[in-house]
Amino acid sequence: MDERNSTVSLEMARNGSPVAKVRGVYLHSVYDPEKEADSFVETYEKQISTKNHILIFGLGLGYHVNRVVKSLRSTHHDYRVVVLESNSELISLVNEQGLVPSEKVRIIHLDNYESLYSDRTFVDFLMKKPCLLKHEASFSIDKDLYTGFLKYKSSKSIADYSKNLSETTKTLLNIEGSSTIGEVAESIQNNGRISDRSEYLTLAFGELLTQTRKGL
Amino acid sequence: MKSILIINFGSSKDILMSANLVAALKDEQPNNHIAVITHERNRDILSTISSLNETFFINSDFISETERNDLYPDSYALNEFCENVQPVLNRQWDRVVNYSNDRVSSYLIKAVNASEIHGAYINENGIAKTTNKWATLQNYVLSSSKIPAIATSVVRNHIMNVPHYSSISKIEIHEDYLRVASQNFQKVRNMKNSGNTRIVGLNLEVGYSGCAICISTLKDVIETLEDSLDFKPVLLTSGKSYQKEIVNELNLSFANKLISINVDPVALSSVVSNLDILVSCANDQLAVADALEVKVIEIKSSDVSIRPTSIGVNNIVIYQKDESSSADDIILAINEEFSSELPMTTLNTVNPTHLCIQDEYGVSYSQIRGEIDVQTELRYHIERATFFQIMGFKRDDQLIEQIRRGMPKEEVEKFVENVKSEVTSTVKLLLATLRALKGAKNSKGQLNTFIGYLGNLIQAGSSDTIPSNIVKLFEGNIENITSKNVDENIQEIENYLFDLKTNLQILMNFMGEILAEGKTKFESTEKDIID
Repeated sequence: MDERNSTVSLEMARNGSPVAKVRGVYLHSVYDPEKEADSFVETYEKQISTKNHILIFGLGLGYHVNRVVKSLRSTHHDYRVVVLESNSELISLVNEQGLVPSEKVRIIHLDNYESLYSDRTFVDFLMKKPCLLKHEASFSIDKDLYTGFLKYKSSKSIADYSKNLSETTKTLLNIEGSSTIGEVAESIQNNGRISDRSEYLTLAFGELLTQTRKGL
Repeated sequence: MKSILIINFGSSKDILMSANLVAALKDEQPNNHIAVITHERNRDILSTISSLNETFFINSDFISETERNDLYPDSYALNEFCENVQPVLNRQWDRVVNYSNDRVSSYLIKAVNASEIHGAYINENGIAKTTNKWATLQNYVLSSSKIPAIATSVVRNHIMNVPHYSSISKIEIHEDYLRVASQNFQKVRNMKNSGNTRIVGLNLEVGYSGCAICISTLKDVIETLEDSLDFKPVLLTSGKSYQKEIVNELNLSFANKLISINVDPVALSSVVSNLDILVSCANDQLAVADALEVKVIEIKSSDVSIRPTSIGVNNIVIYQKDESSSADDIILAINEEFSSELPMTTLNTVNPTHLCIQDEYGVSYSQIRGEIDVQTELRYHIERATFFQIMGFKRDDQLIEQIRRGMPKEEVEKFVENVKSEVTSTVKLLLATLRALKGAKNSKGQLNTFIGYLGNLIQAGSSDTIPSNIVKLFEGNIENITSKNVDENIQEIENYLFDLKTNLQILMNFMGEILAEGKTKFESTEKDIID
């Protein structure tokens, strides 16, 4: 069995709220999970008040997530929350029991970085430069996985991402092989000959990147 | 009816500037279908332009960010780019213009299906080419000039062979916003019960080049206007935090009685069209006011080489060499416009103040007040007139008269002497090149010698003087030669060398005329060389 999907057990906190336990680690306070969630939000109060896109590492039973949503609702007209969670059983439990009811929250199973970064909706979310919040208990269980996500680097080789190219891109740009797109553009320029529309578009693409980086 | 695509990957300034071209193309043929492709970030400002039939956007910021960031595979950037350009590429266009004259547009224009292309493009051999003499002027001369002699928007209309001015409205005014803005501005006008209160917009947005109106200038202008029954100042902001700080500071000085309006791009035209005059640095608000033909006072830094954005006739441009007199300069300009008598501390400003005037060539700027650098002023007007004449317009005799009568003789003589000296050096190189060309025609073995002389001549275009700029135009023409046959090439170069000679002669004739000497011949024995 995959350790990341290790069984979730439920216990009751002193105040009667359920607490999840994974691999011997309690994901919430065994006394008062709601109060702990309040403290979680207080810790990140400044970030939450200035950012309306929040990425949370670790779902638990969603106490902190719901508290973040409540805080966002009071400070932002529009907001989005994405929660990355490594334990699929925990995700199922939370979804089945409707523990995180907000439609503004998307819970994603963190298992394969490549597929995650191939998800356009998730990438659009990341492009908003969300505030990153760590649920320490969850993070500590799968530290390497979460850290790996933060340090992930996509391959820039065309061969590696060609399966993600759209039909339109394949039709317009005749690119393939292990080179990067920058190397393809450079090669066209070095050839001293622009042979077709595909090459003109590749060069326009390259210049667009240069122009945008220069802030022009 | 023609379908026309304007490729414009410039800034918001370029977008607003293109309103002149769109209006002129509609004026030429109301049924023309006009489309623009630009950056997604220009969407709001593009929506202010009237008469556009279609718009296309490239999400450049997303493309750049996903490509730059190691997290994402480049497929995102490539897919976004291709999805964005595909609708443009799937069409057949009658005319396509590279409006912003940048490298993105120069490549993209060649990927579009078009019956005619206009402006600069990169050819199959990776060499920059231009489609007509105006495009050559823009690409090879004006883009590298410290003080461009001809306004960019004027040149870009000429590239498409349409006049700069047209009767078509250039800026979209949303009726709903206009109704609300007009009602609110009427209330502001009624505040002073004078029956004829004029509204002066003071724009707090900084200029494209970072120029700003300092707080003490704003305070002095506001105080003068508030003390008058005939004027009411209104502060315009775009919601930026530094503007809020300025508004707060000003309100502290004026007992919280100031009116400030936060204007978003969509409502901008409705607000600006209600102003009687706008005081602003060069920015989008000013460009919109200009296109709406609202009177503008453009405030600039002390650097006169940064040319005005305003192209509205009779608009005023103030260069702030001494900020302490900027307020008086602004008040003086308001007094002149409305024949009012608002009080001023001094009339003796050092700040160069320019007036935007309309002549047969289009728009130009003449200094009317302040410390004047006569050599720079002469250079600007003479270069502008020379290039228009080179482009086929008739000589500006009025300018010659104005220089003869209005400029200090010794300054004019100094200018002419410098130009003559530069032209003489250039002509020596030109004649040597022609001599070498004659040799190359007789013997192909002399070809390298000729190429060497040609290189020396083109090198003469590397400085920033009028003769150098005329050489740059020649260089652009040479770059445009398409023939692969050596003899045809030599023939074309020879033709352009004679064009260069003619163009230098135009400049020399101008020099002779402003000194009232008549035509001035080159100081050389050209007939010995040129058959």
